[in-house]
Amino acid sequence: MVVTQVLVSGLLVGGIYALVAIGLTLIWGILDVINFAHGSYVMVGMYVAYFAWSLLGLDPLAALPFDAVILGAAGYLTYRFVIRPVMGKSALSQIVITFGLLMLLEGGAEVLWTPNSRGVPNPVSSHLNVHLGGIVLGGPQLVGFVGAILFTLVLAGFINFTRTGNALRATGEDRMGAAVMGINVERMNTLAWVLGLACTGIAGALLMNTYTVDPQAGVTFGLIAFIAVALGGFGSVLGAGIAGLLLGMVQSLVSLYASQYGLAALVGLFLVVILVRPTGILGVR
Amino acid sequence: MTLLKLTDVGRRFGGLRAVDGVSFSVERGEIRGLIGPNGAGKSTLFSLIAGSLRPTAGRIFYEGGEVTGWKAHQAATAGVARTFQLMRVFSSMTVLENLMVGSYLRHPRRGEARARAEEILHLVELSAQADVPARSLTVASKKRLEIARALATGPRLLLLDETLSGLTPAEGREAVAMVRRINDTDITIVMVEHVMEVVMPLCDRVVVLDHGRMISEGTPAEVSQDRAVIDAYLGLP
Amino acid sequence: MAEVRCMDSSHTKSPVGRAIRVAAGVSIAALVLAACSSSSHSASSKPSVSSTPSGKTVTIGVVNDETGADASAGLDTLHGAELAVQIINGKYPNISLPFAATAGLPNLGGATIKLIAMDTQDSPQVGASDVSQLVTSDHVSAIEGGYASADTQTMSAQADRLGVPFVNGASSAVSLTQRGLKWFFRTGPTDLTFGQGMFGLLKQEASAGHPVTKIAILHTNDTYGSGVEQVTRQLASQAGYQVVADVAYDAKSTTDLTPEVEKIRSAHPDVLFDSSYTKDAILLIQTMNRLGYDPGMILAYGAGFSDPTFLPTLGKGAEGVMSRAAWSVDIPNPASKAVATLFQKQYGRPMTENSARSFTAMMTLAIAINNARSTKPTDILSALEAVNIPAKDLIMPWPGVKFDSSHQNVYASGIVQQVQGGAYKVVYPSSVAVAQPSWPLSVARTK
Ligand SMILES: Nc1ncnc2c1ncn2[C@@H]1O[C@H](COP(=O)(O)OP(=O)(O)OP(=O)(O)O)[C@@H](O)[C@H]1O
Ligand SMILES: [Mg+2]
Repeated sequence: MVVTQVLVSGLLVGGIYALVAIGLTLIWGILDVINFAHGSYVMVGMYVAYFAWSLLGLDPLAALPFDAVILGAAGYLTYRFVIRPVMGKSALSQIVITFGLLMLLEGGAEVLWTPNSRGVPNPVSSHLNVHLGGIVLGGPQLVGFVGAILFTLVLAGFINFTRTGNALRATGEDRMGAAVMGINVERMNTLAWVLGLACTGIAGALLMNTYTVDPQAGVTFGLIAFIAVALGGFGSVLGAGIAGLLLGMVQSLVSLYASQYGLAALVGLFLVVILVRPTGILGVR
Repeated sequence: MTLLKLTDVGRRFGGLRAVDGVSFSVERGEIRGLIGPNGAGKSTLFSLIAGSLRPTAGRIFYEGGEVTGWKAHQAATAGVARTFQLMRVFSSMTVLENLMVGSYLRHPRRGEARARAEEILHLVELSAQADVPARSLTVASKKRLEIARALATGPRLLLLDETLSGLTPAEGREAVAMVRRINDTDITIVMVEHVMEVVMPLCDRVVVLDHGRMISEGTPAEVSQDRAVIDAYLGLP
Repeated sequence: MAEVRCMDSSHTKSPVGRAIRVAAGVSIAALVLAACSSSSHSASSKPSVSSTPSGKTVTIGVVNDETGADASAGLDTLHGAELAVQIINGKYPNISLPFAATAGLPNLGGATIKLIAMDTQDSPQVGASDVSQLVTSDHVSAIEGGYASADTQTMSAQADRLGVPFVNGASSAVSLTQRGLKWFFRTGPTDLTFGQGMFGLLKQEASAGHPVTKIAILHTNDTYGSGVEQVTRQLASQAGYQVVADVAYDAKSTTDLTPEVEKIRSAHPDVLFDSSYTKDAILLIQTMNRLGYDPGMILAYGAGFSDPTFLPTLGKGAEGVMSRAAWSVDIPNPASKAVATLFQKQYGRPMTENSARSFTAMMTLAIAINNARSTKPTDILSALEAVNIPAKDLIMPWPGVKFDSSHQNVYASGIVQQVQGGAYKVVYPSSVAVAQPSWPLSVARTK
């Protein structure tokens, strides 16, 4: 019973990991750029949801579309003004620039919003707890999970079954090859950033149902997203999604027996995978 | 009618003039050969025409309008398709999806894009492999897929970069027939080939590059008699 | 034909190359996480002059985390010290504290105190170099400050090397006063004295018919958390309680506390001792409530439980929870109330225990300097060692300030507060309590 409860909770948290990881894998898979600041955008998404509540009285769930749009716009701006100048430059310069973004976002959040934690009291989702034969599915977690899964499926459908999705995948595989097929690669890059960061906006809104936000609130999510992307196979939306869910469960299970080592276990798992199967467990490329 | 016209086109990579002052025209409906020894600048010239690279000198005209320095996706949209010397297919996507990347260009709706892709698959005799990932194709099939993919974009000018090399004689013959069939559908072709035997029967006219410069132009028969061409191929000064 | 790949600028994507970059990425991210470095603070700490008096002045340095992860607590400690100086330098006849009615320090001819504030940026190293700068270029007579025990540790060690008194009010790690430092003094309670308060409450409840035999400890896996764990274990064994669960977790990376809560639940404790920071404290209470788990009582070592976010975010969910504190505006002490009112007016927010703690440290330092009749560090050191401040001169719920040979204030102790009706009420010790403790948690929640 305890194990089941813990696994279920882990699975629910994994839904959010999945969503964050999908955003990362999109950007990564299509532009081949590692966005170190990804977790920081989750943090920004959380603040957006927080302020939607504190200034406009919006429940995090109501703020979700709003949050997706704002972070999507942030993705557009980030690509246009920060990332595009280093496209085609060395991997190091890309690392440096997204790492700089991370610093900027966290530092900016600290200056603008202080390092204090902020939370949304009593969100609608907190009244949605589900009891299933002795197991409790927390409302906020459940909402986060369902939201994340739905969005993942929608995105996977988009990627696999639409013209734009097809073009995105082609761009991710071979930029030049895609360009000679008449695909505007620049537009795909921008789209990847918009979608990728919209994911962090949605994740941010879902997270505010149950977490407090501070300037460092996104760090863990960013790190776990990296691991999920590596595990799931680079650029694979479904792979990242499934890996996110798995990571949530592994982390919870490990925490049950060795509580402080949940994250360490994930990093360990990651290193093993990198050494044994660099294309990711679920990856093919 | 002149489909493609190059005047004094050049491209430098640092100190290296990969393409240097090349001028020629291609008429609609032609099959044009582009030959030259290794490193002569043939692939680079393709990249300049197809927008994969910007020329550093000269001008390029397509269908009467100047297109110097256009982008690859603009070239594709305008009807210029190309293949790459080293095969490039979207290897994790299926064969059909590969073609759809191209066919979406003229058929934005999924159903139509799919139908067009299937048509072309049939044409290049890859229908049986429609749903396998492109990476699992043989070399010859990949080459064919690359041509098919280019065709799917609905081109009027097709640039083939050594599509016929590396094939067995039987595959080669089939490919030659395929190039003819394509040309018969009102698609102008410029093809890079090393092997004279392939170029001779297929091409109407041939351009010869060496060290980035155009050293000869004419019918295959004329060109193969040209002293400069023979020297270049034998590595003489 | 040459297999030169040269026709365009796009580059290959080898899975291994990617994997290496991922690995690099994750390690860097892990480093960031490990350091939880608010790595983004302003590059240099900027001194700011808090008061510019005329005539004779005593210069004192104050060092706190003004921009780092603990900035909210750090600013509270800074403002507590500033307010003490404001009261000393100005005339506040209706506050019954030393030097309030008159301007400046009487034994030094009415000399006023000038504060030079420095920012540790949440870094023990920066804190230590701040101390050096204060001593060597600003020539301060003494230093007050510190909130995070790690910062206080390096800052006080540096002050000790340089031979300048360092008085701290707000750091609670027991070890700070066990290092045999000559120049370091602590006016506030330690985790041990805090723990003693909580165990005193357990004893009181036992005699009131609520016996406790099994305790669980949930703590963060850092210095603060393991200090709390040690103290709790030590006090539990002295009191004859059985520790049935001792669970450590990583506060920075925790996203779900279900496993930890389930582990505690399966050990069936009568009371849960907890050390958590803000987001994990909130997550903990939410998780327990969601899982319908009632650990009998929750006794927290402050930290996240005293964060201003804690109660508003949890609302009813926090009802009945107990937490230790060093100070509360509720304690029956007129001076304390007057100072709290002034604080609210000055800074536009309620005074916190951290402000009260550094206020007291600064007051103690001022009293010692006044007694010393000197601004020389050695004279101040002797005066601090001899100081004996009565309860009436303090805003704290203690009998006084007097340092033992380790320079820990022997009278410092903690209080225990309980969330009753949505707000913390002092429930222990009874001498300063404003409400009865409501025990166990289930009873507190049905009220
Ligand atoms: N991106 C590039 N950067 C620098 N030099 C390049 C680049 N692309 C091509 N070159 C150089 O330009 C020259 C022409 O190369 P190109 O590939 O066009 O020759 P080619 O005629 O296609 O040769 P092959 O028959 O070997 O395919 C070569 O010296 C090559 O090394
Ligand atoms: Mg070539």
